[in-house]
Amino acid sequence: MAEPAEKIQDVGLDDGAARLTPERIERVINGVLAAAGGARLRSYVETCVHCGLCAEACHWYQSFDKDPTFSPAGKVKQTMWVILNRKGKVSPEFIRRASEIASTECNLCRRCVHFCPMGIDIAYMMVLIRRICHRLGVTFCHHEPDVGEGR
Amino acid sequence: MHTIYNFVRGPLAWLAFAVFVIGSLYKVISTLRVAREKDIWVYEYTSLYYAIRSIVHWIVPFANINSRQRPIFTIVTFVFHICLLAVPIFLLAHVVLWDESFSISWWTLPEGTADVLSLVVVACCGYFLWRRLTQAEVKFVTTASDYAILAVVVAPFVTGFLAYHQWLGYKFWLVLHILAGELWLVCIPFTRLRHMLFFPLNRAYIGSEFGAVRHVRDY
Repeated sequence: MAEPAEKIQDVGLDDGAARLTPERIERVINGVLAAAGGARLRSYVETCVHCGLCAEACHWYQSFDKDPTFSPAGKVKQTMWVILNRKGKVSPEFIRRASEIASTECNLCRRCVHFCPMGIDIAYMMVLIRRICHRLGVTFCHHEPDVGEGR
Repeated sequence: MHTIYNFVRGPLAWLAFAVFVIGSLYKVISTLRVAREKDIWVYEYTSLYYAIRSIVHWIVPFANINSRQRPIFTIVTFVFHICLLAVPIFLLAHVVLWDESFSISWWTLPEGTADVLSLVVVACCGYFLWRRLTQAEVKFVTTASDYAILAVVVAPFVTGFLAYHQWLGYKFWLVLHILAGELWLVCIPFTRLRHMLFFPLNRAYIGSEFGAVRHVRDY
């Protein structure tokens, strides 16, 4: 198994997470899930039999020497499963990591859907995570903190 | 023991079947209703042709790329699911119960064959357990509930096998076997065993989204 990827330094993730409070996280998550978390989310999460067959499909998983944290179901485990189990009661650090996963470790290519016997759209769940993180202001910016400050 | 047997065979069996049927209907209907409210494109996208195309490609072995890449897993999972359904439905002892209770009967498996197929189910569960314990990508997404579900699935086959061979007392294993079967039925709508119900629904939608909207295959 490869070494875990280095923690990304990103002003969008770091500053965004620093501004969060647990109350705001819970309110935003439950708001997004109430509005957008419908039948598909419920069916996808409840139908997944945790078989791991989606792993081979993911180029992130392949590129990181088959590290299971990069497998499609592994990414859902680290994000949506926790959010649903804790009913939105998660920490700012968790949201930072969730944003990192959904925005920088998944391209929404949907190749994993081709490999899932249950027809689960994992990219759709990553989109929901991105939406939650964006509403919370924890969005990957991909630029240095001093860019745009005239240096 | 006789009183317990009458209880598990009578009222408890009715309760288990009722929970299974009503619970399954509730889960499917409530999900379809939520889809009507929040995922309206599910109904707009779904096409009968692409739904059937998707389901067929995933219930026929080696008809999709994933099953071709994993021949051993494919064979094990198809054998497992076929035996899992065929043994309880076509077991002589079960058909006799249907005949006694409702005067309906159908073709049955030879007893020796059913006995072997029960062991095949147990062996397949052993394979799934081995995957969960040893394969990193499976182990990472495995939770305690996955082991519990595996135990619920295998229990009726182990107890049924032991009851048939009458080791350590027939009635004891028979009561345990009936309880295990009832637990199995009750668990279907309320655990991830409900993939039995949602497999065709998920596939119908995703097959349609891929086929009718993206114009690609999902298999």
